[in-house]
Amino acid sequence: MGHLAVMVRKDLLRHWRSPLGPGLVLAFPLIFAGLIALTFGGNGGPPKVRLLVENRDDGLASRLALSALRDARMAQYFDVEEVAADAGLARIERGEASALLRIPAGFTDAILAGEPVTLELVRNPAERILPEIAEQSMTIGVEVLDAGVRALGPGLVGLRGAIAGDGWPSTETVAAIASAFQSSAQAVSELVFPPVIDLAVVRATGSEPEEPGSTFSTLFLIMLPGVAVWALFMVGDTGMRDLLTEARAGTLRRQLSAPLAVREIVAGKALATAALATISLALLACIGAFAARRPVDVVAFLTLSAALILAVTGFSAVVYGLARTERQGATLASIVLLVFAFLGGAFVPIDALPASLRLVSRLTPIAWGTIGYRSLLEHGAGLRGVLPSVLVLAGFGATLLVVGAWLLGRRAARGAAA
Amino acid sequence: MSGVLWLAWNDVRLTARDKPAFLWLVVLPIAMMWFFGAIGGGSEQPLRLALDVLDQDQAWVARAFVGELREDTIDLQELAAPPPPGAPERRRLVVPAGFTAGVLSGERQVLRIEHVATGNLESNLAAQAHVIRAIARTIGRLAAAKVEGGATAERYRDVASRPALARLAVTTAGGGTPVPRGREQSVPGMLTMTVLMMTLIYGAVFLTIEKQSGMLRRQTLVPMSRGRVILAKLLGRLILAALQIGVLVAAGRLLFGVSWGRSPAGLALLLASYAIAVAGLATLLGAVVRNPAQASAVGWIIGMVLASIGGCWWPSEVMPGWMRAAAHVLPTAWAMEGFHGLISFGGGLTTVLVPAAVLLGFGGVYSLLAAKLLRV
Repeated sequence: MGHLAVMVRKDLLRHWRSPLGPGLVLAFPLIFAGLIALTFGGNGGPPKVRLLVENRDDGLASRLALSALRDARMAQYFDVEEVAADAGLARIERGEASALLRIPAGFTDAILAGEPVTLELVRNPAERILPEIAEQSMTIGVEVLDAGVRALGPGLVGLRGAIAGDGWPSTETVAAIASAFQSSAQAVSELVFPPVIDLAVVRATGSEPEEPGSTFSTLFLIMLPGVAVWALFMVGDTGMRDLLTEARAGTLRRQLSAPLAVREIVAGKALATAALATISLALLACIGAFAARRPVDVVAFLTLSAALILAVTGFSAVVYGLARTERQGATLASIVLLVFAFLGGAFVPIDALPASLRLVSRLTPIAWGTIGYRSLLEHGAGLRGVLPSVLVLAGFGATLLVVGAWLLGRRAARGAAA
Repeated sequence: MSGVLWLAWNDVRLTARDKPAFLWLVVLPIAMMWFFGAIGGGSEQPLRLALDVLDQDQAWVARAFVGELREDTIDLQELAAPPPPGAPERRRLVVPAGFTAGVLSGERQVLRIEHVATGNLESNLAAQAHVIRAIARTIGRLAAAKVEGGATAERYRDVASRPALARLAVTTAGGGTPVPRGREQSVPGMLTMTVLMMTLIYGAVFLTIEKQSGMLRRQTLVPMSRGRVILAKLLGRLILAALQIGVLVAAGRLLFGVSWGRSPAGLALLLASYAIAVAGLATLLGAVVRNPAQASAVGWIIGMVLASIGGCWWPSEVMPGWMRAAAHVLPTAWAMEGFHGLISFGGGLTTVLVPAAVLLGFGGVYSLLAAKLLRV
């Protein structure tokens, strides 16, 4: 037992003196989750759609449409700028706006006459999401316009006559128009002032409503578990690689000349790897806890973490038991872990994966680790909630550790000559 | 000069002899192009939104509303009852009982859309927009029917059968060739990222190995001046980046159907400028880090950070304004801007002049710094 402690201490001290490798690996989840949270959840809120409007009509209806676009509620989502006719396209091509709305000449006339009218929306092809929002919003706007023209039809026809005529319209004409508008408005008021159908948006699972301004930390905590689990596997890889480094440097041969059994050396390396992963996990957990600012079930967290560390150690033991050189092992581990990371939801949530990949996602330990930690952080799961992840990771880890220890033992016995 | 070329080619040869190089330089980037393209909706089929509808009312306004929801782009399934606990989560819209009677009496009715907690944000927003459009259409048609004499099912159908008075025609600016959804971002984005990352890693790792083993010092005894050795190192990394770019451009065209624009000259200028910037950065990294492990880890992280901030992972439009502006101190943002000009807008040589000039500037600065800091 004393030998094991000495070996673990020696390996940890070596990593402590040269912390850049594991340090950079551990920095990555924080950088990655931070960048995602900054991009999609900064306190500035979602970016506004920059919408240019070419008003080629400049009549009553188009001016009303423009003021509707500049309404306070629309201003939360749109930056509307009126530009001269034919000037909008050049601005779009310079990337200065997401979309251009063209109100055609004769728009007011057509609206008042109840004739068909077509507005044109030009999307910026270099963007995808903001032009889509512009298109969806303008489509809704056109639906409303269409409904308005139908509902206010008689009043609009009267208004057109009054505007087209010379001089001021007569009192009777004004009264007739007002009456037509009033009766239409009265008929539809119950339906549209305010709209009789509303939409409430809820998330299907019973997660708590988000606090205002918490988008950054929410996204950070959504992204952190997956990428942190992947980083822990990478740290484990750094730890276990030492066995091959020592074989190359000749220090393994020296250890074998001491009164140490091969299994003790392998066990020491596995324990050092587990200790390195535990320290790394503790560091990441502290940062996660600081961002979460809410308690998690400690027993569930510790059980899940123990299972994950077993999986990390077992995985790296098999990789370096199979590899002939450090470089081969590092390459094999990087490739397998990268595939696991993409399939297992480390970089992209599992639900956002293509259907074909979702099917195989749960074959990866990273998926189980990610699901477990997200359950703890997002849904406040207890031991029962993370039990599936614990069982899969522990089973995966124990199996691989047995196989890996056998392979490493064989290598260590031979490997003094490696 | 032949010595410089020979030394540069030797660096490329060493990289090619590394067995996993093919995987990292070619297979991984192509896999990532496919992966991120698929996530961004990169299938040949148009995006279909899944929406389950639970109509608890079943009276005529509710049925008319569900009818307004049906469109080619929606995979709409009607549920007879709420799904049992434990059933797979799907996006669901609930029309409450008493909806028709409530609407007709002017009593506010609230439809509830339940998103899957971990669902795709873009799909969720698109589904919401679709439902709001159907609501607007339903209210509009009900209003028109009411003005014409009363809101009845027959009159509603009559109003709905008439052609629209107001329409929206949607076009796209520029003369770019449309490419399958998602790929227009993922293919240039992953090319930009992986060329940067792999040139950084391979370029810096081999340089640190040469520094550690004393090979670099020996090369100056060939005889070759320090300046020419550094030039050879830069050229080696430039050739490596250019080879990878060539393979990935071909893969983008042949495997993913991406059109690289109408200007081969513009594309060549942009890619050459980017390769020069990346080669300079790889040599600089190799000059400042001490060993291959550091080179690999730092190269990986620099690649990831520059790619994400530069707009290679997601469209830069979703980033906050300050981040979009700050990204322009990075070569990746200028490369992506050039790609969008060529691919999305179908621009010519002039479109990429500014991005190419900036990239060449980056390349020059990185190379000068590398030459100053590299200890031969």
